[in-house]
Amino acid sequence: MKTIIDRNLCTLSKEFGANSCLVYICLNAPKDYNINRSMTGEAIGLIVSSNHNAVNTFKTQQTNKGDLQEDRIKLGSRRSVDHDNSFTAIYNESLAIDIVLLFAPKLKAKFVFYSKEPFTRDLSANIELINAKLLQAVMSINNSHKLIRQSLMSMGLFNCKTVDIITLVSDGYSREEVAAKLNLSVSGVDYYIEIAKLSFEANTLSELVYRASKYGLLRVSLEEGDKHEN
Amino acid sequence: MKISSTLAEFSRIHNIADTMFALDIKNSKLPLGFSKVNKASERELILSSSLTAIKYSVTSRKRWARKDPNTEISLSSEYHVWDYNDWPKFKFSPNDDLLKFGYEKKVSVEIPCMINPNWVGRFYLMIDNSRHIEPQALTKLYKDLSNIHYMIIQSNIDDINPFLDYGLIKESDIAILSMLANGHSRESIAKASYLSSRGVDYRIVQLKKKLCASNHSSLINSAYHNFLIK
Repeated sequence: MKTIIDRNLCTLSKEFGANSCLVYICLNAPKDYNINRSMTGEAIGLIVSSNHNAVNTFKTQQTNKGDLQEDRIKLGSRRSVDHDNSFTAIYNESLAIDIVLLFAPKLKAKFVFYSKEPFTRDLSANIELINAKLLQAVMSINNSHKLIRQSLMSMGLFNCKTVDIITLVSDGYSREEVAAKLNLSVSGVDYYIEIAKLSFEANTLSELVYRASKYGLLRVSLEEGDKHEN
Repeated sequence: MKISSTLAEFSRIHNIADTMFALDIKNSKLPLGFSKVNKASERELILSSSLTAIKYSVTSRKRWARKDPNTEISLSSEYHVWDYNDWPKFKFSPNDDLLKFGYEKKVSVEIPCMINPNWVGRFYLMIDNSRHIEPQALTKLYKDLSNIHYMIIQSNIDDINPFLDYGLIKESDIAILSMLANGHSRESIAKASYLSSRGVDYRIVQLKKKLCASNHSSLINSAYHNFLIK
């Protein structure tokens, strides 16, 4: 579980009347966790948070609760942080909101807000506006930190090279061009594509691209200046 | 969510008579020879805050969209005040139609879309007093507009696709695209859509031109990110 601190989230948490907040990406359906056998089993790859306290509280919550997949937080539901002898809570209230990522139906973004005081504002009153704001927030975080790509990588779902190759192919490069760009042979590129087809259960290249886009993977590459880093 | 009531509330807060919204495609992403100005009068999915605005929009676009030089400028600039000072003095002008419906001024504002960088949200603000929009009010205006933009996109993404509204992509094209994405062969697509396999090839070539793609993978990628296949 990697962590990034982003100051922009402070403004967001203030808007919601919270002290701090964090956001992470997780898969919608638990069965998708089995897509790759080498998956490390981590359910959360990367957390972007407004400060360290929020991350610590979140981690403690997770260990207390055990399995993440059992944790089904309804949209806008409110519950208090479990008080435990092992840790003194800095925050008394937490609020979790799920955001559907329109371009990646296989994923969802989860926002968790922490506050010392109860959330006074009636947040469910204008749920559409809140969703719109959070969607903008998660999109700009994704643009600056490559949130989705990094999350899926550190979950161990996808191999970096495979993603690079699918990205280039879907950008319209031919196999030969991809090979030249990544210092591979053409048959090397074919090998990675075959592996990817197997793990996505796709028969054709078009189908592979389609399946991969559902994870929001090809998205990031649309922007300029995002070339191949690990 | 009622979009019209959201737009109406926005208009009320900002002291604007009416607000209209349409999703648009960025110019750089259009196939050669396609003119948004010519198609503007045929667009159906322009969402408005009131009935007067709908009537105005239909009348004025039918009558003026192709003749008015402002149409083209507004479709490519971020902020545009529709200006008729250069219009021949004693000729019937679009401004007369504006006054007939009780408006004084028309401003169009473009909101960039992070969900799909090829799209923009375009708002038309109808002002019924000679008040200028002050620069300090503009920041809040932009913020509210982009919130509304994402609210509309989140709730109605399937209904407001600009590619369909401009008539650039037809329903039968979508069927072909989604079969392609699901790994069907040319022959099976031909059979299902009552075309010859060369007919399917032709349609795919046309689709590639329309979606600025160079191979099948980039076609699927582009179609997916323009929400033409789910």
